[in-house]
Amino acid sequence: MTYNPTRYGSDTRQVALPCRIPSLRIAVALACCCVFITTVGCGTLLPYQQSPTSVGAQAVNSPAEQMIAESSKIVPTKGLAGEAVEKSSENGVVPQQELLQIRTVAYNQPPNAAVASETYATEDCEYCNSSNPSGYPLPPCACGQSPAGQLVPAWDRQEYIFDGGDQEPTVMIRKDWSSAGVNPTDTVVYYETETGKVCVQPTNRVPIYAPRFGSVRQIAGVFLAERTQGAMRVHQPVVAGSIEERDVVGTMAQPLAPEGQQQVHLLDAIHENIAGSLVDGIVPPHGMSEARVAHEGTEVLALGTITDDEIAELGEFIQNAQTWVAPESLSIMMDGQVAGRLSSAKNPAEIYVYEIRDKCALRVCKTASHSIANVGDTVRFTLRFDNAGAKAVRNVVLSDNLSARLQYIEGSQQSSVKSSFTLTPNSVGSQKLTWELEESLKTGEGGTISFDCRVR
Amino acid sequence: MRTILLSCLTLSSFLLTPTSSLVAQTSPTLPRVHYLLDSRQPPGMVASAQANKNPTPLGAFQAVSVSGPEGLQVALAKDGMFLPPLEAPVTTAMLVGGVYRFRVTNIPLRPGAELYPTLEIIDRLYSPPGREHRFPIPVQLTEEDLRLALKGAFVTRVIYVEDNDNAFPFAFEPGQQRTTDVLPTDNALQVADRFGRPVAILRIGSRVPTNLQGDLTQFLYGCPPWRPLPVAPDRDKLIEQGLWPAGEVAESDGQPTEEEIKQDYPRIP
Repeated sequence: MTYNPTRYGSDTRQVALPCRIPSLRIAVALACCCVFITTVGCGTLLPYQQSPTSVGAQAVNSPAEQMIAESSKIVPTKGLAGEAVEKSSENGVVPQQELLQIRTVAYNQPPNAAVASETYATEDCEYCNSSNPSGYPLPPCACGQSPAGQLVPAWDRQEYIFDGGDQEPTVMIRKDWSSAGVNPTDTVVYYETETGKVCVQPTNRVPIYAPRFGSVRQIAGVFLAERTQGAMRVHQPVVAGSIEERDVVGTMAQPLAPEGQQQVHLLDAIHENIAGSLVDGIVPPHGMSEARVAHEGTEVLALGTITDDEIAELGEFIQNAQTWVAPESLSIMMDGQVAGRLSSAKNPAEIYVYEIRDKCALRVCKTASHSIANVGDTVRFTLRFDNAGAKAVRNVVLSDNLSARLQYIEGSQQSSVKSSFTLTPNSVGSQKLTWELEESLKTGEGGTISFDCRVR
Repeated sequence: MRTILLSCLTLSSFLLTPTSSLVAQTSPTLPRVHYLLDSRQPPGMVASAQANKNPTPLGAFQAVSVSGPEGLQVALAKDGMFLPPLEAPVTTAMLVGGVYRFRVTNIPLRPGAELYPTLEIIDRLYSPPGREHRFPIPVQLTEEDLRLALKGAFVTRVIYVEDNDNAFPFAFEPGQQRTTDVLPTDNALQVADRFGRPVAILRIGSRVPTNLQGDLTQFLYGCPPWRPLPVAPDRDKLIEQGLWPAGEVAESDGQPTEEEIKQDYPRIP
């Protein structure tokens, strides 16, 4: 039960509830930050970013706030709370209808938009017009006063539950394919490429606003002090029973000086032996006669590179190859049939050479179903992974070490690919979830893993 | 050569001296830190000191929910007098830095008894805009605290926001709060500071105003303003009313499944 606003006449306005569905979509869009190995590393999402608006354009205090203010260059559009307050405060009085509009607009903004969090400050002018007998600093308002005293929205990381990413120390993979350094709140995927290269990829970091409270109780008073006023016992200093005597050092080991010194002769001169360095990729043909390799002088065969001035020559060589397959050459008879000869009159117009490197190219994305949660709520996490590389990867293992505030709900994990699931307790009293994919991921293949956690 | 070496050593010592002192100042292994603030100080001291140190949350309203045993009635003060009581929990927005005194009546098994606790708001939460009412500071007047206060004890509760990076690994039910008891000689504020960030101090004593009809300005600590707040809907009640899905967890059979995306899936308001 709460105070009815109309009972005491302090506030007759209703509070506009936030727009639910758009907020949900924007929150999910914010929480989903896909990480590409080839381009971007571990992306960390701030819980919500604020930008200095005309309402809250006060000095930024902490380095974290400075970072947020500098990183978020969100320009408030027309109709945001800040501009509306400035515009309205020119006449000194904010109309009631406009205040409600400001309030509604402010509530409908996503958490990362440029909205002053002190929404209470813009809706009532009761305390601005009063004499303030209490002496307490009152919140700023739009009753003709300068909004410069309004607050800069901030955030506190203690109020958030983070899950995902790879915190220090970073994850390392042992030879037995076990992992080390998967700290609480870490979520990583590690796998092996075709050539045996081991790759570790952390997911994005998902924040969930879920503050939890505790209290420290102290009971004092007269009735408790009665027990401590009387002398229950006297602490008597205990005399030392024995005295430990320390003898004076009688002898002392003196370090011996070196008897001799071995002189190391320096080099009188340095003989330089600089040989010509070989260029990688140059594979000269050995043991082949000039008659067989008439085109060895071209770079495409010697070095593997194609130059523009040799394209015509290369086409000629291809024509030569067709010419060489002449009827007077060796023919193969197989079961009485002559082997067919395949020739093409088409010349290559362009030649592309692709160099497919062995890159770590598994894309991982982690999302949460809720951006805010209370104690007891259930949050569903979803992991989406795709092989964005040109080669298959194998031995894919996803590991999620939960925070102490999250408790895995038994039997809630689901996977779209065949995998073996392991649940082990971690060091902070929660669990560590591990999925080992049974099959390798080919190019373009991927999957989804989801599980539920209870906020505790 | 020796002169150059000595000058280099002198320069390096000058460069290293502030660094080492800085490391010594910020070392977390310093055993004893003298806390100027104490939970046993009079109401308002901690809030004013916090305001001097960090004036950022000053002037902000913070949602507070005062709860207690069933049937407990709480009356806030306004304009120098107590308002008619309302049944707990009472959710309001209180000013950061203010000291609020309210009257508690209808205490279980103590008919006619009344207490006048104080609540000092020393810090605020940074909830997402529009969701402040969903995360009020929970001020719990337990039956034991009320009974001790009626016996003459002075109960102090420092309420803090737990540091989630070092959270206590224990599952709490909604509305349940972890309570740590300290000795009367300890500094409860210091202990709470180790667990997280203190946000409010609740003091329950047996002090009663001599004349309720007289000037209560001093007794009410200036009667700071407060604001009504919408009550966050209870999920259990919504489920009972059929306005919210039960949200039972589906058991997995271990086989790969494809989850159907539900459009317009409701969320907790």
